[in-house]
Amino acid sequence: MSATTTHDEHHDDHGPAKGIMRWITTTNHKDIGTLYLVFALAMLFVGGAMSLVIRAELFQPGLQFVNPDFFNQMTTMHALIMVFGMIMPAFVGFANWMVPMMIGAPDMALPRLNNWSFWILPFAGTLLLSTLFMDGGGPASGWTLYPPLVLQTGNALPFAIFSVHLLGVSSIMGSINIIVTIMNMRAPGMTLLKMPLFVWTWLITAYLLIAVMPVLAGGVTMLLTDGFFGTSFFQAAGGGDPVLFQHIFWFFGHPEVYIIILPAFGIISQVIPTFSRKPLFGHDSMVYATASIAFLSFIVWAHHMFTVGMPLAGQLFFMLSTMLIAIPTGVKVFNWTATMWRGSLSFETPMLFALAFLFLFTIGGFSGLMVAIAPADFQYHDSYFVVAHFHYVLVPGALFGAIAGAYYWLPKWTGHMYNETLGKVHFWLSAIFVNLTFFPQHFVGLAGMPRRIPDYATQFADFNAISSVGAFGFGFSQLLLVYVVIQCVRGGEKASAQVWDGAEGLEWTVPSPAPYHTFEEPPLVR
Amino acid sequence: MAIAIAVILLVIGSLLFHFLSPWYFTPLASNWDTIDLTVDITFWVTGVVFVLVNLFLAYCVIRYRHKKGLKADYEPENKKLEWWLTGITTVGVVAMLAPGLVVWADFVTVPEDADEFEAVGQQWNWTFRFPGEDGVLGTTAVRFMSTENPFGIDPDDENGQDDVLIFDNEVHLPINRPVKALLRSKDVLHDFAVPQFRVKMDLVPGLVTYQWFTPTRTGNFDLLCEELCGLAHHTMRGNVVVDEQADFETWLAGHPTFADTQAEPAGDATVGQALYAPCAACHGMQGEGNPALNAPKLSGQEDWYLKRQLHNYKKGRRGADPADTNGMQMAAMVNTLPDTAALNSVVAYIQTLPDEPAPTTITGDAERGKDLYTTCAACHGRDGMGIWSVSAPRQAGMSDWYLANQLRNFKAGIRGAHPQDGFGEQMASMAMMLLNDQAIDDVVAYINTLPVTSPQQVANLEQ
Amino acid sequence: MAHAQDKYYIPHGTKWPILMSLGLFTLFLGVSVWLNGGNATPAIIVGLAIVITMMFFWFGEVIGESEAGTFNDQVDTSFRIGMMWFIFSEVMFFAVFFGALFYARQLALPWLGGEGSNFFTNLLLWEGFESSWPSNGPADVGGEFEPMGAWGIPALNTAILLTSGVTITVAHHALKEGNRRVLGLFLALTFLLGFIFMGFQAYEYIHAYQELNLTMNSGIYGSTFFMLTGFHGMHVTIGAIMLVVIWLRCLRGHFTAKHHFAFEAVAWYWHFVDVVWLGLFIFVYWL
Repeated sequence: MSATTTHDEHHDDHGPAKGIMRWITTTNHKDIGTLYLVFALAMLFVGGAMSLVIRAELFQPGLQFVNPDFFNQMTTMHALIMVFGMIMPAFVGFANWMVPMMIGAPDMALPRLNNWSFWILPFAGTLLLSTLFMDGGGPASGWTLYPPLVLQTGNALPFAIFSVHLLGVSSIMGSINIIVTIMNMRAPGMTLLKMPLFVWTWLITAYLLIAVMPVLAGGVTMLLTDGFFGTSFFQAAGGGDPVLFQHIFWFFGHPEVYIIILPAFGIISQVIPTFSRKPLFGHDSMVYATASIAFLSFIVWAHHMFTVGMPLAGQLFFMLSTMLIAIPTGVKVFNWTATMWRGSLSFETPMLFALAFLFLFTIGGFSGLMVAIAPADFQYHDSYFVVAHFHYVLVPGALFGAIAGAYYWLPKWTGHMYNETLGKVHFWLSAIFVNLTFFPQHFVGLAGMPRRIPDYATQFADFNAISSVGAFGFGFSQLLLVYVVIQCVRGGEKASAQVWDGAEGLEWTVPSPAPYHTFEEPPLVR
Repeated sequence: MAIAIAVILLVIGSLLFHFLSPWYFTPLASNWDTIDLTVDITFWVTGVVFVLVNLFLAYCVIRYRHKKGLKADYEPENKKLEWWLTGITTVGVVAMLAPGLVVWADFVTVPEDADEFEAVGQQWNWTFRFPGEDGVLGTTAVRFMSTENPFGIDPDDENGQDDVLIFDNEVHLPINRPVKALLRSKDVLHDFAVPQFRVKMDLVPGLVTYQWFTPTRTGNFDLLCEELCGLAHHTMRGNVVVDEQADFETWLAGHPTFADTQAEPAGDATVGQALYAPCAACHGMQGEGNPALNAPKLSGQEDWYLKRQLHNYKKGRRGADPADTNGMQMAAMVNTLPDTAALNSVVAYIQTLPDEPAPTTITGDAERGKDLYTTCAACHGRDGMGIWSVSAPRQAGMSDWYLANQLRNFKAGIRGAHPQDGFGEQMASMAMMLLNDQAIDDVVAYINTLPVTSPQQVANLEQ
Repeated sequence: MAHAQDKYYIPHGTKWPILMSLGLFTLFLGVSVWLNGGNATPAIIVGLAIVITMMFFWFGEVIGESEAGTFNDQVDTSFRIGMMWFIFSEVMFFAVFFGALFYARQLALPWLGGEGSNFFTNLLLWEGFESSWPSNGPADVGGEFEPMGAWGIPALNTAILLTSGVTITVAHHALKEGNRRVLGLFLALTFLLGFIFMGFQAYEYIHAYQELNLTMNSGIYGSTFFMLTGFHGMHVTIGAIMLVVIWLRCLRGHFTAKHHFAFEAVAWYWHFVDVVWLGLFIFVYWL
């Protein structure tokens, strides 16, 4: 794909406002993207600190540091923060920064709404985090909020539920904005199938978000009325069913998994071709694969619930549909490797993270296949194997995808090259420690260690100790990321417009750093 | 280059680890070897693909490194290759799925001759029920649940009369007999999981779920709750003991039927008064306790708790550890109560004694104790008056020095170590939270600050 | 070189969103404290006041820009796509409650009655319970109640809402033809019908609570009934308020035959509320 830019530096050089008001009142997609990314980075450490509390407690059997209730609050909040406060905002940040630049749009389609989508987040986060300081503590029922247990939560329950509502509003508004931008703001000649894969994955992600966030909102609303207004949605005595909530939650929850991973797929699909100096192998089939994954994600939810005593036909259906997802996902993995085949590969930090993604995500994907088969799932369900499985998908999967994207586009955002040596050190530390943390969890899970327990049988001690060491190592390695980012923002070697010699696409045609306003006149895409 | 070596090493490492490491499933103890086979097949299929994909990745990394002047091939598409890869993936998926379906069909088809038993979960312990002679379980309802009928069995249901009730967290099953476990929860979601049996099923309040298996090996296996069920989830453990048929029958015969529990002689306080005489020597005429003799206050303690502890002493579940000198004394004294009727009577008498708060003897940082107590409150109640439904006794207004001693005993493994003392085991695990003596004193000091409610109020609270 | 009309309008600087978030935060904080048994009326009132004020100013600013001709066709298209997907998200929101209703009727209640693999559920826990609809569950939660019949007020309400769907379409055609008098009249008719509908709903609720013993506590029937009709009623209220707003705008001479996105957005919303009601009438009241 090539493009000509007719960008004029001089007209409408309306720059950003000064000081704090710039960030509060901004409608600029780059500013808002930055806000999202900074917020996500902050939450990475908040959620990360919680996971370190968990791992510290699990370092040895017995109860050493925290009481069991606080431990359960930590597992619950760690998940809620990481999912809603960290990884989703991170990818929305990428979308804000990159989607308009990749499709040749002057900004997001609905800039004020964009501002609102972000500025809901800190308030929702405050509402959620404040529960930790309340009488009775935060929600401690796991992030899945299963009734009836969740209804035993103390004062935190309505706060947590309203926080989920607000986070949902933010996601829905953000997604509407992304869809509108992609559907309506593409530069002339940018046909749908010419769009870069990152844009495609985000388009599909946004559809998923709009379809499932309201479902979650409805589900937690029913929790609220069951808890405070005497309804019986989840109480068998009144004709409801506690399992109904699980169906609702996972109807949201499974697409949510793809909401988290698809943008990472998109980033990897940008990074690997760039550093292979070769166009993405099978661009169109990647698009179709993404779309099929999204479609399938709506009909597989109950594989999270193989042990609730569902009817036979239901189990069969969900087992089959889940296995089907392996096919489009396989297509993606093959296409990434095929892109590298006969390429001309170099290994800058983004590429290293992308390769680690490829390697480690397949581990998460394969363990996903294992848990998808109902009888086998009886071994894994709610054991540490599942914890290992989804962390492999989320950390070296989604998070590594985000980090790869950050290194990849940092020069474009800041105009400076980051410190390549430190970047590589960060990579190796992250890659080693992430495996140290999560690989042993497969084994303790196989041996039967349940998840969400602060104390465990002594035979699991060795692997838990290793896992804890890994977690602390991984946590502290991420400080290096912060250092590299700050260093890069403040200065460094000037970056060229194209930055990477294999980089292609509209975002690489504008100078680095990208001017405050780009593509006020749409570029022509041939 | 480093990354290619790392990838290759990781692939080889994982393979070696898989074959050499002893770390795999716990040895099977049921008929579900087919589940293991399914798991093995998924391991093989995914393992082969994993190795191939990653070795190919490593090959690309080494072979196609960027050198000056090296131009990448332009190959954006290759429909034929894509179809081939998609096809092969599909075959792999089918290979994994097919055995799964066969096993699944077995799993959901309960054999006609399977024996039924019921496992009841509640926060945070297990109890069990066998159908008795008639082979049919009696119906239950929440409204029938009480301290005398914790299973909530319908007293008017004929089928329920001969149901054998197991009030322990340990259940025995006969070897080589298919069993169908009916699962019932009294409060929140739980999960019945025995890793060696390869079975796992949730307990859903308001529904009865089930699963079946045939134990194939005698032994004692852990029964775990694998669904987060609240604060003490991690202590919700039980045991499944697989016996030879004859041993199983002996074991079963040692447990009361529902009719037995209902016919259990009610305590008679006047009879109890006479029986209480030896107790009074240490515990005092009014059951007020005597620190000098290491005898705690009894008056005001709840009857079901006193009964359980007396039974525990009688059965050697408590006061058997040589380090527990006071407990051993009590275990000897309890023999003055010849049978359940006597035991119930003495407890009935204790219930009539005036309940004056015990004098406080322990000082500590009550503020800090308050924080620690939030965990305790989940079972013992915010008011420290105990909660029957979670089997937690009253603490407020009882002998504080005794409380502190018992916490130390729990921590030291002197109390709650007996495998049949399920609640004790739970408390032992929770007591670990109090890291040192100071913490114990602090939490007891806080309990000392709790206002003692009158028995009348207590009764109201319990309802 | 492009002139202003051809350019996509990007507003610069806005303080409404963060104030809106602050308002929502205060409101939810207040409601949470209230649900926990505290006194939070001031927080609820302040929060609500901020939200309403901000919506007034935020929409006011957009309306001003619109009337000033700031928005070109592309911006108009953005609004349209945005509104469509917003309505889609609302559809999904209602879908959950309908899903809960179907689940309870088709699965949960029959299971409690012993169907499928739940023979023992019925035998051991809920002996004698037979699945039926309407139901307040095997434990008769909330006590005896009478279900809401379909052919009284609900049928009348259906007619009212369907008529309002027609009147707004008439108004739309009038707008396109430039017939302002008919536009104003039929728009007013539409929201009047909306308010009548709400009045009937309020009456129905009072009737249910006072005479039928049908409350939110009436098991799964009461839960689904009040949840579905309650959220629908809330949406009708919002829709009717929006109708009033665009009616006032029409009176002020806003909208042209070509540019009237706000009008169409409200009309779509109103039709959406209409369709949801049809679903309610069929599945909640009738069948």
